[in-house]
Amino acid sequence: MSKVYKQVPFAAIVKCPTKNNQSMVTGNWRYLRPVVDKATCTECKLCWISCPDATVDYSKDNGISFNLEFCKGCGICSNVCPVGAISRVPELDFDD
Amino acid sequence: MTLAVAIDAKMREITVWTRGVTLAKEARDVATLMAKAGGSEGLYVQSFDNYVDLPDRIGVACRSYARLSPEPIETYYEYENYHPDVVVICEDTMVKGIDVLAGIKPGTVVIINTARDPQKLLQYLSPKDKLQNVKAIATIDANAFGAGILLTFDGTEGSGDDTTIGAGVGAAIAGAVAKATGYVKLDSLVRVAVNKDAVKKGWDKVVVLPICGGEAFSCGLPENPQEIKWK
Repeated sequence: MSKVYKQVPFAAIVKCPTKNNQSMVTGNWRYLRPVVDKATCTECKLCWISCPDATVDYSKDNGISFNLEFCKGCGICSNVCPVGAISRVPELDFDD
Repeated sequence: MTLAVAIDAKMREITVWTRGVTLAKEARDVATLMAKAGGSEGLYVQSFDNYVDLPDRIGVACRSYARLSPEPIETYYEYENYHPDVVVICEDTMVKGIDVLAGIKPGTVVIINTARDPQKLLQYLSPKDKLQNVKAIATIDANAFGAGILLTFDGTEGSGDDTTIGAGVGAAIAGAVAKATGYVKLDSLVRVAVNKDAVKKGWDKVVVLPICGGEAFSCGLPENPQEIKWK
């Protein structure tokens, strides 16, 4: 009576998030927000590769942007940036 | 209604919000100092960390609790302060994105460790409907006193804390909490803290902004914050 492997739901009993895991929002861990200077940015995407939480988004039209709902503010993006385009600004300087 | 509210009607609950690892020890010191000072005045006290938040990770929101009561505390099996009387925020960015006011009782005092304008921080506090229950917002720039922050894993998850209690900014925040709430006297707090100077500075430098109906009071600051009447 054993099930074949294909019938077992993926990730056992936890529903696998397809994009954002809304039950584990980590944006409120951050106290310094990454801000990219579009004029300096060369779009080398080193930050996009290095972000441990995949919160750096890239599009051809808008360039580099950040998913601030999940960015923990670890600062790796600003450290790896070869041209220093990403600065870290205190979170309370923003109204949103 | 939780068990704590039903049984221990006179118990006052203090919730201290902090960032994991980086400020966890200082937040635990605030709760421990308030409990120790209250205990030395003959109050019945409890003080503990939030087990749910452990193990704490760097920057993650976590809580420490203290309970003070003039009568023996019968609430043993509730491990969180679901309805705090006092909310202490050890790092000012925590007003954003975290429901620090969840479950507060009417007449709650919020103490924030910040160098910023309390009027501006008021707009971030959530949930918004609980702002009606806030009596006053007290701010203290404890980081400016140069007391320092102790980084240690002592005292987490039930292990003993061999470090000194109240040597860093936690002592200054505890001084501010004591003055803004009036729960313990300055003398008893100074007696239990290691950094006595920071406690006195926290007591002296705390700024209280009375809140009425979720908005800042317009008629200026009272002489003694303990005499603010809750409407």
